[in-house]
Amino acid sequence: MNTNSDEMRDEVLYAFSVEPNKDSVTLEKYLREYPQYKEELIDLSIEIFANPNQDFSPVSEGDSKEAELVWERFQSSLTTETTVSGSSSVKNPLLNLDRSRFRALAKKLGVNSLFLTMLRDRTIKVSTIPTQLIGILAKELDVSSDVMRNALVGEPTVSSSVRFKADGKPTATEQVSFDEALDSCSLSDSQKEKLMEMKD
Amino acid sequence: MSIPLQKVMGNGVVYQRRTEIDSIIDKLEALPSEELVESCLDSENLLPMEVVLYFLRHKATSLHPLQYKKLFLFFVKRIQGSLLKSISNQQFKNAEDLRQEVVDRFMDLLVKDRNEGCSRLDYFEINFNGAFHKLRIDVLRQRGPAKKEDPLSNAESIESELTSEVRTDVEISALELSELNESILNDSSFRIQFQSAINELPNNERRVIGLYLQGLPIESKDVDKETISSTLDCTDRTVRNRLSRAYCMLREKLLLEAEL
Repeated sequence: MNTNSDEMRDEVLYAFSVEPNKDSVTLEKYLREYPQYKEELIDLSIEIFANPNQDFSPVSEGDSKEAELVWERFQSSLTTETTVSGSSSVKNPLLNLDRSRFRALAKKLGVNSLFLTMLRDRTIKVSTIPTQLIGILAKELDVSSDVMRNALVGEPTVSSSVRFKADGKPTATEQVSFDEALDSCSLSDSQKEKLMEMKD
Repeated sequence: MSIPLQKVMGNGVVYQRRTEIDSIIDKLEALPSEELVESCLDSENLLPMEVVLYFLRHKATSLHPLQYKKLFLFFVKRIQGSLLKSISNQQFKNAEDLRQEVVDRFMDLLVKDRNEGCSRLDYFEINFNGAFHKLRIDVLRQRGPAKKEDPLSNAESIESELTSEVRTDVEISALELSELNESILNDSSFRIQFQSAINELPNNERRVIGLYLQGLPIESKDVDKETISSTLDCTDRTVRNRLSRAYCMLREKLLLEAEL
């Protein structure tokens, strides 16, 4: 099991490993700051010194069986939402919000929870969502706009709340345009107006 | 524009990829996906691993699944190609297990990244070579070494270091060491032999000569300065003894390899 000290050790060693100048000054600095990892730092520095440019030429075609096995293990370890052959997109930061943070975000954006839920569940076609709105969402969730846009790309999902409450097997709904979403979410006129102003 | 990294440095600044990596990514991003993948699979003009990893992390949904699989397989083959050299069957009895363990640990990071996000992979996009060294050494420390040549066979020389003076016949000059350093820096084939030879040294000798060659002083009048003796908690005489022994062992191994 990974403990906090393992995490700390890994972070220190990775940080050293990517230092642009791994000279004696950098090494001294790390040894002084992290004496508890000195053996690991020394061993890592020697490895990198002895081999600053590892050769990453591929193994021959004859050895490709092992790579296939690695691919199969990789595929089987992915959750259903992220399998390569599946249709879902990258991790969605909106899914990490608990109920109160979700509501607070909706308030900050000037929308209601229903509209934010449609965004989260990819019910709104991403190509119709104003860039400005994606930018504001990204800023609030502390991710880049690209990450946010990618998270909203893909087929609509069924949210976990629906998944657990439904009697029958729930199905993902059809995607709608941004304009259609504005009309179907019981937004107030001023909320609609504000969102309309963001349109590209 | 490439997707920015998320890993933050100790001073609060977000890490950046190297400029040349970002510029290759930007050029490839402008290509149709088939051409992008073909470029990544070109064995004649191998792209930096940082670039291929970027597309593995961020193109899983936009590439056709078959294209993504090709990219993945080629990436794994490149990792395996590197490990065949750095964890060779000649060096380690359990080399195959060790290589597999390194690949598995990297895959754990990639799976975590896909399932829930894993900023640790950012380190590999910043400097794949350095980060991969770290991953590999972890495995060797925890699962290795089972070296074919047991370092403990040199135990006799380690015991004698506390009592003996530096013998004149093994005493080495700074000039000899600087010549060694120059060969390592300028001769890539010598460097490969050196890497294998230094890894076969006992820990004490390997660390002393490794630190010396990186420019750490043996001793210093400045008490705040890190030196080899302060870092390794031993006297400067012990450092010199180990340095002499390490140099002799290295010379022997390198001469032996040159004869073979």
